Amino acid sequence: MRLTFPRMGNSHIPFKALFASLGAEVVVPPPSTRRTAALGSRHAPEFACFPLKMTLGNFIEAAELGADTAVMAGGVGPCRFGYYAQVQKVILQDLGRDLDLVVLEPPKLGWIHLAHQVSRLTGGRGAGALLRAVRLAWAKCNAVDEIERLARTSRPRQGERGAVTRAENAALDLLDRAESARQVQEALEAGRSLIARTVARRTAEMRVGIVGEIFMVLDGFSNMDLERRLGEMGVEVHRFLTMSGWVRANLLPKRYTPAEEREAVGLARPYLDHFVGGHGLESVGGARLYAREGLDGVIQVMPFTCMPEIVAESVLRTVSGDTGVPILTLSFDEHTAEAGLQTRLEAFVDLLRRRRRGAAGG
Amino acid sequence: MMVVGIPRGLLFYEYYPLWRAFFQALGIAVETSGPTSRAVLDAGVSRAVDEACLPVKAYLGHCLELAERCDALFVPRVVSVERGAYTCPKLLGLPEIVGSLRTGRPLVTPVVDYTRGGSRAVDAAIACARRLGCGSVRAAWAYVRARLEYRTFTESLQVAGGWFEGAVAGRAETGTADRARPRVLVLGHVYMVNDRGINLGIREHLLRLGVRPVAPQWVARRNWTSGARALPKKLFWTYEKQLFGAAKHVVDRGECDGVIQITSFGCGPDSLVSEFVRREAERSRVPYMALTVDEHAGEAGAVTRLEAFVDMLARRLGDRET
Ligand code: SF4
Ligand code: SF4
Repeated sequence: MRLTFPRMGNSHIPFKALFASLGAEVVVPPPSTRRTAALGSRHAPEFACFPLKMTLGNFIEAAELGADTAVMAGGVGPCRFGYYAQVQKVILQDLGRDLDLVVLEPPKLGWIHLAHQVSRLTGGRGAGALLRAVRLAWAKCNAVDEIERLARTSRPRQGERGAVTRAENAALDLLDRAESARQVQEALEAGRSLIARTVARRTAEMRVGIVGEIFMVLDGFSNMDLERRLGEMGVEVHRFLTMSGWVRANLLPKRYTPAEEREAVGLARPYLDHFVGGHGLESVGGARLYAREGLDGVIQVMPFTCMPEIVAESVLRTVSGDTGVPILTLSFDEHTAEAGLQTRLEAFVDLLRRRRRGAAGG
Repeated sequence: MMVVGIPRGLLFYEYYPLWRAFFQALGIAVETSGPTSRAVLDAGVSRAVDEACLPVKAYLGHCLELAERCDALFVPRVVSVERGAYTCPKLLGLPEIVGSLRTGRPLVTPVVDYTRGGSRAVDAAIACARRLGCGSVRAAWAYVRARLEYRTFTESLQVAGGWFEGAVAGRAETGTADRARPRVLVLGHVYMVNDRGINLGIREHLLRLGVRPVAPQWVARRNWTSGARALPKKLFWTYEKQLFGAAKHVVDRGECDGVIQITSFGCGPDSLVSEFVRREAERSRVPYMALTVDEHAGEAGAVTRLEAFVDMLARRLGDRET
């Protein structure tokens, strides 16, 4: 069995560790490129949301490299994600791709269950191996999140343009190679100091919070490296949506949900009194949370026509008015142009800068 | 006397007779907005989020128009109408989307949620009535009466093969036994199929072209439920399940010669389910056409496509007969 999975940001690092230590032959889908997006969009339904197209593109490219089985998460609504795999299955069949999609449906979605299923597929390795695999993957998941966080806060303070991104990539590479939980810790320490060495200033010029649909928030290719762009404009980027946070919120009992995320959901209530699927509530509450923390602005990131985020966007106008914090909504799909994005970001950062000066002067 | 405004959009086309009967039984006057006009649409579009679907934009237009003529707007939060399934994320957040308009009118927003089973609609009805100053017992009674009236409505849709306007007015449809061919299944949400202000008048155009339009809402529940079993996984959107199941039922039994699926640009559920409908039609060799509308859609372009489609259907029928 040659196993693959969809890409989302740096999630391939823990996934690869999980499956490989269970004895599966892992085919990591190639990093997403324009070709991935083009393949996905060509074969997916025209109006499907962008994450479906991107992950379909990943599957096709992994199949080209010889993958024969793909693991995909399921869902029970209310949003489209729960039906992605079924749509992708029929499309892959039509394309004559011999890729068997194994869909993990909640509540059986837990990492333990996932690992168990994979270990069965790979011939059963016993509970000890299972536990070690999950522990290694979880360590990598948390370490990747930490490196990403450091990069977000350090980039606006880097001495030389591109230095943080280089250090971040090196750190991620170290994490990817780590073979035990102990090595993960060492790699993380090394990564920390690599990033720390790039920093030349004490504070960033301003701070912006990112909320939105999780795939688009986490996947740098899909959001056109939003965090890097902002960082290079001098913006320190905050976000509470992370890979490990997703695992905690979705696969573990409620008390493990990250505190900020739980708080955001509570803060959303006066503005949005019901869940709407996806991360709609988190987006609304997250904007309030960041306003309360005194951030300069909030950016909502979503795939074009994302349903929960459209509900959130309707409400965010009111939130922006009430809190006085500017909120920019960015939606992405395969037609999004880089130049347009850059212009909108620069205009937004300009606006935030003027507001700062205004506040300081007045 | 208090006047409750019911915007003419979205689930209005599914439940208006129920809602109207309920308020009437409570002695509360009901006002509705007029048909979807260009002005209503423009007003909604100008206030809605760009990427929202056309039915939601139109709905906002209706709310704006109606707000001036009523004391409160009735904007229910219909989360779910059956166990284990939802309507659509946008309907889950509808009261807040409307709230962002700040019409100055209070909203009456009963929550209907069957996801965990039970009879949530009657709870919602009672809560709604209490909010309007009526007692629980009276509310329960009004709800039961309204259900009866609603059944007459659904029956006149299904048994006689009617459409929304006729069934609401209690009119018998003419031409239901019509043998005109080709017959085209006009597949879409109730608010797409019945609102000519947003569907570019597709039904009228088909009639003009000598086609007999068939509505998915004519298919009985047990039939669309069994049709929906052909899906690869239980679908968690009730109305989409109904659309697919109805299409499967009608196509399988050869009760239509073509399928036109009319969807709104930006409709999330349709974007995936139409993929399965198209496949089903192709498998049964029934021609399929998708018609996607948004606020910029021109009627002329749509009519050209309709005509070409109908021509093709007529040719196929002719070929078969000779
Ligand atoms: S949350 Fe957005 S991206 Fe995710 S399935 Fe729903 S519409 Fe698609
Ligand atoms: S089902 Fe489609 S058309 Fe209806 S409200 Fe949802 S997105 Fe809009």
